[in-house]
Amino acid sequence: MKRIYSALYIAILVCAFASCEKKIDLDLNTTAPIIVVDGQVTNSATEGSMVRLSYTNKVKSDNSIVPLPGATVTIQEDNGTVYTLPEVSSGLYRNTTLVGTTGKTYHLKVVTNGITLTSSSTMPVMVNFDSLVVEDFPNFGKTVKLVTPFYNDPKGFGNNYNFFMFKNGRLIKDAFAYDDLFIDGKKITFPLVYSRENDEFKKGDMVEVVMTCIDYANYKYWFSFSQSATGSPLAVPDNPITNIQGNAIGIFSAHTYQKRSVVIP
Amino acid sequence: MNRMAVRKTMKVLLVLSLFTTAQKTFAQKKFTISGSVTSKNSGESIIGASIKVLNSNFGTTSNEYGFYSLLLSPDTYQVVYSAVGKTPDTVQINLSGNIEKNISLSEANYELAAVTVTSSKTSGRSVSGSQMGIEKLSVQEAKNLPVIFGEKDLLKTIQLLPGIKTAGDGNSGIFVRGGTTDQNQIILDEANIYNAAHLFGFFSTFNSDAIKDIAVYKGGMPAQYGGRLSSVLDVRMNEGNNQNTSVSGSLGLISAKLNVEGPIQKDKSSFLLTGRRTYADMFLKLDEEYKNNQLYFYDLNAKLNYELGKKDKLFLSGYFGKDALGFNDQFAINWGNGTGTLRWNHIFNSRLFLNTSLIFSNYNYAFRVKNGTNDIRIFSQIRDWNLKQDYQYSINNQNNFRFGWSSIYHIIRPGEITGNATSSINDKIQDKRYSFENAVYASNVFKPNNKLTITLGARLSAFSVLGGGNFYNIDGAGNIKDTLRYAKGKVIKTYYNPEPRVSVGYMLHTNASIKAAYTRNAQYMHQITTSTGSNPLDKWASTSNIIQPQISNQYSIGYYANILHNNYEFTAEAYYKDMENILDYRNGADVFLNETVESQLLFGKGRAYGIEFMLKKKTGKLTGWVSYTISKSERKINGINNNKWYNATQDRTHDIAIVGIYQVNKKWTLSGNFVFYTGNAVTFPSGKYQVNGQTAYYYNSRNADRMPNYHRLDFGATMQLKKTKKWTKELVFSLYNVYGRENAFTINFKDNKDNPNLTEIVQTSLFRWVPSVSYNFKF
Repeated sequence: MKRIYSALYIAILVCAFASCEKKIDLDLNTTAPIIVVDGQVTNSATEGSMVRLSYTNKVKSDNSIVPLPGATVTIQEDNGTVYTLPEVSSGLYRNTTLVGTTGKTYHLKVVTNGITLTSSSTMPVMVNFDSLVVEDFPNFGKTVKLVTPFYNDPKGFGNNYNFFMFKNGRLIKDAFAYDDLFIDGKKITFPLVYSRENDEFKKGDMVEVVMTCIDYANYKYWFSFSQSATGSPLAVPDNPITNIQGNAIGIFSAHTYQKRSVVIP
Repeated sequence: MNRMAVRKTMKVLLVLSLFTTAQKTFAQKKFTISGSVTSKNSGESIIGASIKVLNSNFGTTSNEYGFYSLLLSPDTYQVVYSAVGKTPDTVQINLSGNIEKNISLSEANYELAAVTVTSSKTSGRSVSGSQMGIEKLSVQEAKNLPVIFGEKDLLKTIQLLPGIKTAGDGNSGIFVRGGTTDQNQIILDEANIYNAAHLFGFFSTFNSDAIKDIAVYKGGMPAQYGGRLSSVLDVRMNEGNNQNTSVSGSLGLISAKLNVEGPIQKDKSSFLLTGRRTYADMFLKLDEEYKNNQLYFYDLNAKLNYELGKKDKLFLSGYFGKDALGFNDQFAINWGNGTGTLRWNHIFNSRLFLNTSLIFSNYNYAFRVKNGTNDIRIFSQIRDWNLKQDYQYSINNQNNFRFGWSSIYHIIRPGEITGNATSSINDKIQDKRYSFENAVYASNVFKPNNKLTITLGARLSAFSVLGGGNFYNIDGAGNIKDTLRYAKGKVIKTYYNPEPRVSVGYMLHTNASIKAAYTRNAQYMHQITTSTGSNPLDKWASTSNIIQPQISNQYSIGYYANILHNNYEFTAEAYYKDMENILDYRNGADVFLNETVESQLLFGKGRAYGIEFMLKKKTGKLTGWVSYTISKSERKINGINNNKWYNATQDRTHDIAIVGIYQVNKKWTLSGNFVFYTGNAVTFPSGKYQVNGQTAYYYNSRNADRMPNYHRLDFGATMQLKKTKKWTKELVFSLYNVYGRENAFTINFKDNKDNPNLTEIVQTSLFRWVPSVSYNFKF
């Protein structure tokens, strides 16, 4: 009896509180295409360095990239060698011989249709990615599996991190950028909490985590990205803070690259 | 510049006081009728009761404590005492010396009310006087209107009045005349309530069983109020019945309420204790799956009042409320306000009235997150101590003078984070912020003849930023240039603001008037929020060396008329308001426990203007109103929208409310309301792109898009159950959102779940067809 009453009560509450979602269509303004720079220099010989140039697309079109081909892309290391990144496929510029070194600053220059875009980024000290562990977490009445990267933040402020997580080779579209304002000098044990139910880990899933150590401008970019550019209505929408100079958006990053993987037991 | 402002204000105050003394000297021999107006059944003092001398233009209204004073030449007068929901009383007075006349008015029963045309059944806007921009609502008036979850809530009912807009579906937060929620000063028995929301705003902190009435000043704020730009919501608690002990309460879908009040000494002193608690969680506990979750709030209102003698009265009132929300062990948050007010009313003589108040107010939240080896707690608090005095001096029947002062000491604990030994967090306790907010004010209501009323007032506010801890200098990009360290108690900077308040009312004929007002307001405490609803974690920041006080100037004009034999009231008000030093977050702001919140802020200006119309039917079996507002609210902030003007989030072009209450018979009262408003201004993406494999949206101009229009119809019915001498019982039914409109709460852009290569636009709506029933009793 008690049980029935409580079930009834919950049913009433759910009726009242349960948000109701539906797909809608809206008239949206469309801006003229804007150049998007997505470039990186890594310290990994396998990853190398690459720059992807594209244009913004209509919101209602699919998510495929509108490439910007035929640009001249170069990266200069400190005041030394200038590396050219040849176009390996439409809009993708790559040079595997450019392997970055921590402490060095990389200067990007893109010339396309008479427009010049520049940016620079310094590769920070690499903090060791100690291990990746699977943990159980309670989540609204059930238990879910999460992965936690373990690392030790070095004493002294100024370390910034960005993590990328892949499930069975597919990128999980959540940004995980941290600075060390609250965690300076500590052993870090924060799990990477994904936001979509679809991404939930199951037994046998292969989860890979890439840990990158990034400079402050990159941290600001990814932090503001996760706050305001993901289409979520919970924050005021805005464009992430770019480090590209010139009429373009996007990010150029010189970062360290470490990858670890684990199979969900 | 500040010093000049101070000098100017002092001059104004000086002229005002000279003016009043001059009036005094020339006054002929006159006597006063003074006393208090109370309710016969409960002994509660009546605020704003009308005291009118029949066949003359002499009259006044009772003040916040029911006290009134009327100065007249010796003669015989017929004096009419009337108030909302009360039967008017006419008293003959032979005035040959000062007279004390305490009046108690009995409840108007509905048969009487239906025929009594002279007594206005509803309060609020008034044709006479010079006060404008005010809306009043008593619990009495609101009690028959339909409400969501059957939970009577004055903060939701006032949203049906023009110029006051809801912060969202089912939300108790309000936007007044294009301002933000933090620009409303919400005071309960004079104590500031920093977060007037329970459960993210779906309920307000005001338990209607404990509340007497609420007055909202949207403009033309009297000089005794200050500290916020957009409005003052003055909420007064019941005092407690000093005639009989009574118990009342209600059982609803969401909460149970109990109210006990009664005399301590009959006619002299009384107490009131009102509690409310939601009980959704008690049922959750019965269920295995939900039993470890926490979700409740409670309120406690208490009041004692004691008559110390004929001339002195003491009040002690308090409020305490708390919300708790938790999911298993992983996450818990609780927040709440606590206030205390000690008031002393003193009558020096029949013409001079003094109220002295000592007020305490506290708001804090605590947040706990646990995952794995991390157990992290976050705490923040804001606390005020306030001492003030308000003198009301009735100089003659043409001049009413009011003056006083207020001092508030603010202590903010902006943020404290602590972790357990195994957590990855370093404990961090941010410097406490201390400040001192002071004001002096004076105003005079001058009625030279029966047509004209002029209110001249001025307030001088001073805000001192006090030391203790680090302060910063910041460059244009928000980077810290240098750090300044101050000893505790050292005055770092004092801001002065003169705030003139002027209003004029002119009676065109006995039933119509025009009014105009100019009001300047300064605001020293700021809350910055990214969400539209109420977020208990939203941060309050005090004015500092970098954050400037917000300033507004409001100009308004209005037309007021009682039409069709006083059965209807038509009013229209137009306003223009400019605002300086408005705050917003910098793009990508990180304010969570940020030591230099200033580095994350941008400053700019705002402007808001509009016209508000209201047609009200005051008498008869069918009462109600139609209100319509057309308005605009814009911002211009350096660093946002290419420094160009853009729509404020709360900018809503049209806002309509239709309210009707129909008294079918003694047993049944039916009610209904319909609302429509333009959707909020929002920013939708105008493009998208991929970066590092993630979908990102491109935004072009701030708040250039609109949420869909909002509309909703509600029905309510009150059934009076069998009345006995001791018991009154009623059942209240409501149906919220009768036709089940799916009003957009949020609109989200995201990758399609099944085909991530496509974008979908998803609208979330909250409340469709919310029925409720509650049972009210009193004995």
